Amino acid sequence: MPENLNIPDHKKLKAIYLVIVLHTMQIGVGIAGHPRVVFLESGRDSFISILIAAIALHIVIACIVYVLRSFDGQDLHGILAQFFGKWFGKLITFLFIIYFFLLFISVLVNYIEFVHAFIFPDMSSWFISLCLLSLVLYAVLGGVRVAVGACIVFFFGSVWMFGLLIEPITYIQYDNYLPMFEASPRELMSGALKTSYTIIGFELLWFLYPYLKDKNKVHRYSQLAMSLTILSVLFITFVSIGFYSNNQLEDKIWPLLSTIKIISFPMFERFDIVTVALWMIIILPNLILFCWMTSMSAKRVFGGKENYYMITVCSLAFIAHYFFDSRYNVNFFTNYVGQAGVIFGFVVPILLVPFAMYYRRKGAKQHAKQS
Amino acid sequence: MKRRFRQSSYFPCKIETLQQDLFTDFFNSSPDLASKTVNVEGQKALIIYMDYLVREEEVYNHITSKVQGAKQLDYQTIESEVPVTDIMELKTLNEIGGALIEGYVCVYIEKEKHCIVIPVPRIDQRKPAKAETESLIFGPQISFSDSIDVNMNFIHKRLDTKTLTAEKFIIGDKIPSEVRLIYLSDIANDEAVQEMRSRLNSLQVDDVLDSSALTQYVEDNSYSIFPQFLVTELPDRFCYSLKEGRVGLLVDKSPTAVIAPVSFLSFFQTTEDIYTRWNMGSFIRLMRLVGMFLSIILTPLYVAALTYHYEIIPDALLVSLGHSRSRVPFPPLLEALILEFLIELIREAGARLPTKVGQTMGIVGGIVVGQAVVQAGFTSNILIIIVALSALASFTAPSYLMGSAIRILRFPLIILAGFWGFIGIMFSFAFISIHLIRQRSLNFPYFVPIYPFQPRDFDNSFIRLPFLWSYKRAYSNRPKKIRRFKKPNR
Repeated sequence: MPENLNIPDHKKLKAIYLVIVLHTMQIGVGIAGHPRVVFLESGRDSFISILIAAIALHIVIACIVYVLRSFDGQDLHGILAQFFGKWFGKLITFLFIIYFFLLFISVLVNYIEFVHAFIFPDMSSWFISLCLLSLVLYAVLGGVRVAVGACIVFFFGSVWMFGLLIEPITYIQYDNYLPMFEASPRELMSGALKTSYTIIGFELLWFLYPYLKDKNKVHRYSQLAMSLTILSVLFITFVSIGFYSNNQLEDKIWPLLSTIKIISFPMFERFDIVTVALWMIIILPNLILFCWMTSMSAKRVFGGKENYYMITVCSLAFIAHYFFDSRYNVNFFTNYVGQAGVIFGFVVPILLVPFAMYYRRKGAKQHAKQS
Repeated sequence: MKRRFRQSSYFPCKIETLQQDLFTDFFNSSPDLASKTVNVEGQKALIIYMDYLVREEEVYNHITSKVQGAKQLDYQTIESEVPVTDIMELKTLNEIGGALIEGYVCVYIEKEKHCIVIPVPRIDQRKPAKAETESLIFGPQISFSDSIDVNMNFIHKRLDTKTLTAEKFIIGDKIPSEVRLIYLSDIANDEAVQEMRSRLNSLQVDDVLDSSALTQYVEDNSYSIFPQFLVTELPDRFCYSLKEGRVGLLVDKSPTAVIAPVSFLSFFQTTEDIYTRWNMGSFIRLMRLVGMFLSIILTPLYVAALTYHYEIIPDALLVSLGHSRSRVPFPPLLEALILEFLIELIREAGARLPTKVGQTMGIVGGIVVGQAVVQAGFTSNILIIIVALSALASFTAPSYLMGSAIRILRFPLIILAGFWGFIGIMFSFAFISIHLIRQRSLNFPYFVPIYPFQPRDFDNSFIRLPFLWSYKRAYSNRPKKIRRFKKPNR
C-alpha cells in the first residue's frame, strides 16, 4: 500500500480555490474552437449537446468526490494502488501520466498554432514554447501553492474577456437559432462527445484533493466550478451560433477569436491580436497544473524528487512539440487526446465507483468488528 | 594591548598608568581624551572622559566639583553626592574604554580595586525635520530623526500603551549598532515576531550601514527587484502599521524605520489615504495602482504596436502617428529606449544636484531637450507624451524603492516588446505575476489579497471603506485581535 500523503496543515489550500482552479483548467485552447466543433455535429441544437455533456460532467464529478471521500486524503495513485495492488496501480497511474503529458503537449502546440495563425506566422515555434515552458517551470518549481496562485491570478487577469462578447451579442440574428430541435439523438450524442473533449481538465481534482483544507466543501465547490465552465461554454456557443450564419461558422476554425475580430476600441482597432496574446494567460494555468500533475504522479510512481520530473516534463515537451508542425498534425493529435480524455476523464471515475462502494462496506464491517 | 586586557585584576594601579594606558592603547593617542587629577588630603583621584561625548558643563558642576569638594575620597561618598543614576563599577580596561565611548565619565581613586563610571552622554540631535521622500500634504509632516532615542520617543508618544514592546538587538561585530524590534504584543502575530527575532539573531555582519541596508540582510529574497520590507521615514505610518499587527525595526543612526510583513499593495498606500475622507482615499489609491500599470505598459505597448501590430492602431491615430514617425530614423525600440534613458538621466541629474539647480535641470531637460528632440526628428511627439506620462505615473508610488523598481522594470519590458511584440509583453506580465506570487515577506505571502485570495482585505488594500465598515484589521497580517472596534449599531 502506498504511503499516505501527509500534507501539513499550513501547506493546505482553501477549498474555495477549486471553483477557480478547476474552471481555469477546463477552459483553455479548446474553447476557442469549440462552437464550430459542436456545430458540425449537432447544428443549431448544440446547446442540447452541451447540456447532455454537462449532466455527464456533474455525475462524473460526483463519482470522483465519492471515490475520493472513501479514502482519507489519498490521491489517484493511492486509490488505484489500494484497489488493484501496487504494480497494477502503478501501471494505471503511468497511463495517466502519459495522458497528462499528451494533454500538456496538446495545449502547448495549440497555442503555438494560435500565435502562428493570428500574430506571427513566421515566429519559430521553439521560441514560443521556450517562453511558455520557462514560465511553467518557474511557477511549478515554487510548489503547488504557487501553481494554484498562478491560476487564480491569471483567472482574474482574463475573466473580463467575457465582456468582449457584448458587442458581438448585439449582432446576433435570431433566425440563426431556428428551426430548433432538428438534430437526431445520434448527432446530439456525438456533439456531446465533442463537448466533453473541451471540458476535460477536471482530473486535477484527483490530485489536488489531498492538498485541500475543508474537505466537506470540496463537492460543492467542484460542482460550482463545473457549472461555471458549462455556462461559459454554453454562452460562447450561443453567441457564436447567433453571430455567424450557418455555413460561415463551419468555416471558422476558431470562431471565438474570429468573433472578437470585430471589436474595436478607440485605442485598439483590432482587439483580436491582443486577445490572442492574452490567451497566453488562459492556457498557462492548464500548462502549469498539467505539468504539476504529471510530475506529481511520476514522483508517486517512480519515487525521487518532484523537481527533476518537472524539468524532465518541460524538456520532453520542448522536444516533442517539434513533431507537430502542421495544422493537420495538431488537429489529428488533439482529437486523439480528446478521445483519450473521454476514457480517462469520464469513464475511469465511473468504473472506480463500485470499488469504492465495496471498500466502504468492507471498512464499515471492519469498523463494526473492531468495536 | 592584549596583554593588559588579559590581566584579571588590572586594579589597583597608579592613576598615571591608567591614564597612560587609556590614552595610548585604547584611544590611539586621541586628543579628545580629557582627564583631571584631583588631590584630596593625599589621596589622588582621576576623572577621565571623552570631551565631545559628554555634557561637559554637567561634568564640571556635578562630578568634578563634588569630587574636589569631598571631605574624604571613596566611592560611597561620590555615589551619594553625584546626582546621576546608573553608576557602574568596572574592573577591566576594555570595559572602561567601551563606557567612555558611550559617553560615561570614569572616576578612579588610587589604590581602589575598581573604578566607577557615571553616564553623562551628550546626544546632539537634529530637530525632527519635515519628511522629504514621503511627503504628505495632509497629515503629520514630521519624519524620523537619526537617533534611536528620539525615534523611540516619537513612537511612544504616538502609541501610549503598555503593550508596546521593544526588544533590543546589537547587530554588527566590528561596529555594533543598536536595533530595536518593535511591536504591539497584544496585536502582532507571534510567528512574524519570532521570525524577525530569529533572523536578527542569526545575522552575522561586521556593521549595519542603515536600516535600508539591514533590510537587505534580513529580507526573504535578495534577488528580487521588488522591496519586501517597507522602509519609511514617517513615524505615523510606522505606528499605523504596528497597530495593524505588523512588526517594526528601528536602527540607531538611521532616519528610516522598517516595517514587515508587507504586501505588494502596501507600497501604494500612504497614511494620507486614511487622513482624507474614504472616497478620496479610495480614488487616489486606485489611481496610483492604475498609474503603476500604465507606467509599466504604455511604452512597451507603443513599441509593440509600431513594430509588429500596426493593425491595432486606429485610422485617425495612424495618420498623425505616421506623420510624426516619418522623420524618425530609428526603429521604435531604439527610439523608446533612447527617450526612456533620457528621462532617467534627467531624473538622476535632478536628484543629485542641489534643489535649486535641480529644478532648472528639470526644466531644461524636460522642456528644452524634449522639444529639441522632436524637432530634430529623433523621436515622435506621441512617444514623448507616452514616456512623460509613464515617468509621471511611476512617481506616484509613495515608496521610493517601489517607484524605482517600476521604472527599471520598464526597460526589459520595452526590449521584449521590441523583439516579440505582444507575446513579449504578455510573457513578461505572466513572469512578473508568477514572481510576485512566489515572493514572501517575512514568510507571509506578498501578493495578498489577490493570492491568497482574501476579498475581506480589499478594504485597506485596493480601496478604503468608511470607518463604519472598516472595523477589522487586515486578515492577511494575521493579527491576534482582528477587530479594531465593535461595529456600531446604526
